[in-house]
Amino acid sequence: MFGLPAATVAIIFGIPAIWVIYTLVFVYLSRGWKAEDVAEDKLTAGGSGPTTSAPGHRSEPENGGMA
Amino acid sequence: MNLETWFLVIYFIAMVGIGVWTLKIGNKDSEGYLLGGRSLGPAVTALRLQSSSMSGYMFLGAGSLAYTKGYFSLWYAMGDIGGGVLNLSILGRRMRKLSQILGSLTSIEYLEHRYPSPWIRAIAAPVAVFCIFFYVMSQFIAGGRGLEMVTGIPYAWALLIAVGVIVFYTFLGGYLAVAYTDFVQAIIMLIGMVWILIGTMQAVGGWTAGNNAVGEINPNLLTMWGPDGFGSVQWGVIIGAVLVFSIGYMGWPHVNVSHMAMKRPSVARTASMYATGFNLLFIPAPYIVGIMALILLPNLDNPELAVFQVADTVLPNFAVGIVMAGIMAAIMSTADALLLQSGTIASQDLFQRFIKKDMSDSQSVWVSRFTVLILAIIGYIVAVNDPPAVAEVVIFSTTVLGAAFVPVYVAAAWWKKANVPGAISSMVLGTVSSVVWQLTGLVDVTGVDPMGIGIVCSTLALILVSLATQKSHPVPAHVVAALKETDKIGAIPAHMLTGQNDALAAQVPKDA
Amino acid sequence: MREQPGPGADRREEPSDQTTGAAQPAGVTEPALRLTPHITDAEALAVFARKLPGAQAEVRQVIHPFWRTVLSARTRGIFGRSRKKSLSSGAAGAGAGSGPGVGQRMNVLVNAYSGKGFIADFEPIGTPVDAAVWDAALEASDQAGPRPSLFEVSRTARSLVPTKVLKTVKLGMGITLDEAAPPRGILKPNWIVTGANEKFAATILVDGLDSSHYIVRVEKLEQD
Repeated sequence: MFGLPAATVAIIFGIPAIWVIYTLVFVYLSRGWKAEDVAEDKLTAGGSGPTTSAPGHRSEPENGGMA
Repeated sequence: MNLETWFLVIYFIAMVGIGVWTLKIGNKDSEGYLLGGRSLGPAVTALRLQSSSMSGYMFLGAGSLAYTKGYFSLWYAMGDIGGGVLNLSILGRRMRKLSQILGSLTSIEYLEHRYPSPWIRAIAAPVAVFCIFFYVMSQFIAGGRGLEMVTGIPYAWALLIAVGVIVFYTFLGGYLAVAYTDFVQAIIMLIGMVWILIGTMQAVGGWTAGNNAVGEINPNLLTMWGPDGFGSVQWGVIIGAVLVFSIGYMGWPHVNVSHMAMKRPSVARTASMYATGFNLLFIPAPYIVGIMALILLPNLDNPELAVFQVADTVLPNFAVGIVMAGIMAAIMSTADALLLQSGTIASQDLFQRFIKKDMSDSQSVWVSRFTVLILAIIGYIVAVNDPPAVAEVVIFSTTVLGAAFVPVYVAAAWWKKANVPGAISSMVLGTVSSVVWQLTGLVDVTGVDPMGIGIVCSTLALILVSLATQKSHPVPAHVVAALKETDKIGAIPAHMLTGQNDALAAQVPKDA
Repeated sequence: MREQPGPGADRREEPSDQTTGAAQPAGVTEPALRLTPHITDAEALAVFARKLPGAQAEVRQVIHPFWRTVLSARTRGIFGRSRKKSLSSGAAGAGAGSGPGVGQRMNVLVNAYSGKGFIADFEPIGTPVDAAVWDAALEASDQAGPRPSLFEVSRTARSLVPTKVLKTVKLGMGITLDEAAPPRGILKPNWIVTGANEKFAATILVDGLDSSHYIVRVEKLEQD
């Protein structure tokens, strides 16, 4: 298939398929995460209470391939 | 100057212009506003993140591995695709909660709070800076090579310009660090990469035809076992290749700190879906292009330039300039984030912690600046004389970081028995074993990758030493309490948990 | 007191040249300020009722010891120009508006237990109480936390403020912080609400200042 040996095709489609399944399982299991979102009005930090600090680095959640 | 260079220059001026303009219109909170993800949502969040994760490795390293090893190089991609979701699923929420309770501001401080001992920081900080240095240097090399190819300026000068721009950006980059530029960069690179891939496929007559042609050169290149065929396969190396960018990724301090900052886990969770989707398409792309380059450019003297040269061949001139510009910008923003991280580690986790405790804030900034400059200078000197391959350096630094830090970060949130001696020995053994393995060339002799060895050593060390020293060095009570709190999260009904303020965990009275 | 030395203890035992700040995690020597809650007990009950509809509940006030320092922050660009840097909305909510270059005043509260700092966008108002009350509150807290020393409190505050001010700028901007007042004890009121409906029994901590909540424990009652 595609001019590639069977083993290669199996691996380069199979492993990503595993990751897709993993991601879907994770998304399903973590469906309760919404509950932990900081409440909307806290984000504006204009409320009347102490404001939670943010860590002092430009923090970019890196969910993508790293390299 | 050739056309491509003009486009490069125009692009940079445009980016700087956007940055200055945004500053002038007083959009002071733009970073905070957009990071919150409220108006952008998970798809765009994921897109922005892509621009920082696409760096010199993708464009130089991946291409060069593919050019020299064929489909074997895709083992690295196989791990990379899942790295993000793996990291988030294992560390994300627990690390956030635990760091909230412990009151940590940086990911290294988090380690010391979890494993209370000054030794933890004394070991973790230098190891982190060491690895960050190598990764930054790889970005320098990538930038220098890229500039050299596009503009024709000799490497030494191109490198100097690249380093200069990166350092400049680090010092003043805040003015440019608006979401607009990240977003625009991401779009440019994605379009660029897709365009290059499509152009390549057209030039070789389709994927199947391309594979057939590569097979003519050496049929082993089509297998996943390397150019010397199945008999030469070293399973240890393959396992290491998959592990490096899947698990190793969890050891990067500037990646983990984002878990601590996660204000909206639901966005992070959804973004991880989009990110996996993007990764499926874009991580394998440079590898495929690199492989096809064997047909289009059979006599490249520098395989690192495979992707660039292919782009030059298949894209129209103006597109090359813009894509190059997008790549340079990606390199800059990756290098800048890492340099800043190292500056902060040097000043907070090392200098202020151990040398001058009452360091003032301006001194702290100066230590950061000084560190950045020193790393840039050393990086330039090493990179200009005999630059190592980008791929090698990135893999090496991720390996060491992964071996040293992954077990301690994972155990921090998941294993109540992980204690200080366990953590110390884990980090030390992980670092030493992976570095020694790499430097003494034991890879070839044993067929085992430094990543594999490193992870195994550090994990075993953590487990065995923690168990052996449970009595003499028990985990402190407040840490155990914090871990129990972290565990609780699963048991509480979601509707009650909504909007909970984790910071209040540290204000619960004894008699509650 | 505590059998396990936390990070605070380690720092104390190191040969240190710190002269400022107490070597012990300090008690206060002067009267502490007991903050007036912004949230009333009725409102705390209402928060509980939202979580556990139809529940019977009791509420009582508790206090948690914090340190309070006041810092003023001035920024200047790397080329020496003083910038009128407006702070992000959190602190600006205090009504200070655009920084006049003289210094933005910020109240920083640091948890006396965990050492975690917060920037308060309100001016602390309350009644002064005896230092003994503050000490008692420290004893009454749940976890044997690291209990930062005064020195560490200042340091936490000083590292916290730049994160607000320098959000979009990195090394190119210098920041000067002045401590307008040394750390003083302050007591933050919270509400503990305990109750149950047919399904759950729960104890919830409600923040006395911003009504956010934290679930201390919850127990499922119904058999199914």
